[in-house]
Amino acid sequence: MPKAKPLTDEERAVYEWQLWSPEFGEAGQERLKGSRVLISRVGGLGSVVAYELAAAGVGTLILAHGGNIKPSDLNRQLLMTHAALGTSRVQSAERRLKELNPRLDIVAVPENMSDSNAAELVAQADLIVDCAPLFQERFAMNREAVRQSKPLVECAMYDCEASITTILPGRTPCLACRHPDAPPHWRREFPVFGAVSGTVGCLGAMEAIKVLGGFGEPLAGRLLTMDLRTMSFRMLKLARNPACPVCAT
Amino acid sequence: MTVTVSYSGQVRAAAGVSDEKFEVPDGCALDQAVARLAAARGAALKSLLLDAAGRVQPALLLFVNDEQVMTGEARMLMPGDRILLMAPISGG
Ligand SMILES: [Zn+2]
Repeated sequence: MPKAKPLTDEERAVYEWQLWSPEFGEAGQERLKGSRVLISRVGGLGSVVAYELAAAGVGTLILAHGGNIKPSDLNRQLLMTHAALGTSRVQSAERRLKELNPRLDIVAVPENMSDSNAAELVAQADLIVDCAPLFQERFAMNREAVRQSKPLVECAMYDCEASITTILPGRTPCLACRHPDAPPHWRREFPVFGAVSGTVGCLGAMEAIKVLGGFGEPLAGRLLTMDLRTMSFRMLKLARNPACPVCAT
Repeated sequence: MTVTVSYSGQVRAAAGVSDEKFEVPDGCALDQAVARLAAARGAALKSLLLDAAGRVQPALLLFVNDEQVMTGEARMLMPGDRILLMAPISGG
């Protein structure tokens, strides 16, 4: 877990309104300041996670996302701008986040999560927020999060639906309990409104703030699903797979 | 007996509805109910619910009364049970 870092007077002023939150307070803020969060892809979902965590004062954000900005990113990837079309996504994200919170340390990694970099990236973080569009990236992150015993907030969306759970290794089912193999019907491109990815992005940021700040009840072993077409929300209980290839001991 | 079936993710689009009532024989197991649904609805839904061998698609997530049931786990249904069939999603 993160090491608390003392606040400056300037930081007390900036975060004043969240310091009023019961059970969080200055001790929680100091933990956020000492925290390092890895966000895998800063697209529709990860942009909003990163923006909220930057605003909340998480000390270090490690952003992993390959490629350059395309026009079709701009309906949802809120850290990307028209002026930056054709340039690096993580650099645009870093610039926008620093405008919001210049105290932030950002580690911009211009590549997506994979089997070859997951161990090293996860090792740098206290907590991971999974915002990747491909199951292979999610599996690499899950395997390392479980192996290194790091909390993993799993956010996902499709069309007007979204889901989120928080994996606490050793205490909850992991991603591979639910999906031992890549689902055959999933495709990298999918229908999406920015307001849907942004909704679950805010929820993911709140899970990270709670786990790192040491308050509230994370979605441990529970999958919150939502259909924003009808504004229906459901809380589902997840099962641990005793034969899970990743977390079964 | 009557159960309620809800669909989520790509199975929702294939089913054309988000939920419906469905009649199954008394003592019906969850995997049998999924097979009956696959037979009663179109090919698009069937391909998401069952694998090539006609078994419940291993990637499909199954819930009864908001609790996950592992694929392959024997689960008898009761009248009024709420089944949720969820295609995995990974959009980011
Ligand atoms: Zn597992």
